Amino acid sequence: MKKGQISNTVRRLRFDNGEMTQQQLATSVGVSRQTIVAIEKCKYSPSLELAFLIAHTFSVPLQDVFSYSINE
Amino acid sequence: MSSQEKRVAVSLISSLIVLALYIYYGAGLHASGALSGPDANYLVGKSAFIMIGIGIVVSIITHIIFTIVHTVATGEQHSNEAADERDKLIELKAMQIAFIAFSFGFMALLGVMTFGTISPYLVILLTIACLYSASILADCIKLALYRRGF
Repeated sequence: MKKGQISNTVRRLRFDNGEMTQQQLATSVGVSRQTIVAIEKCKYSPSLELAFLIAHTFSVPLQDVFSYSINE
Repeated sequence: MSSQEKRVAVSLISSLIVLALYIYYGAGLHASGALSGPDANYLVGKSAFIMIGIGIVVSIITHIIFTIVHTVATGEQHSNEAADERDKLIELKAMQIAFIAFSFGFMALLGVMTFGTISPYLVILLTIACLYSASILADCIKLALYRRGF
């Protein structure tokens, strides 16, 4: 299986949405602030459900939040 | 430090205290020669039950002291956040590694037992100590994963 990298735009989307804090996002999707920090730093890949929840919070499609690139 | 990290830190401290007490008690039993006496099975069984009780008490006391010290030192109020999916993954990963470590310890003890140079009662005591050590290892791995990111 090829190794890929999941990147995201959560940090930018937070600022585009009224400078939403990490804690506010965490509360709205039901996880801890540390989990949001880990997602933003690409140290943790969220479950599909959490990814959809984050996208839903920002009212954007999933592919606008998360993208996947394969390392050749 | 998140509430989950605090919970793990409290668990680590209490496990270390209980393991130290257990090793001290077990070493005393072994040194006194009680493990080769007629009451060995009674003593070993009793020690396991006593340690469960002591473990619960130590855990409660450690939690109270840790909460007071942390609140005084940082001024943060204690928040009891529920575990989310990342916490559960970290827990699972740590438990997997701890289980493998315990399995190796247990197999090593069984291996030593086959030589017949060690009392079976001492093996039981060491197995319980191995269990506590695996729990400590799991807590260390959890803290490392929380710090490093996962």
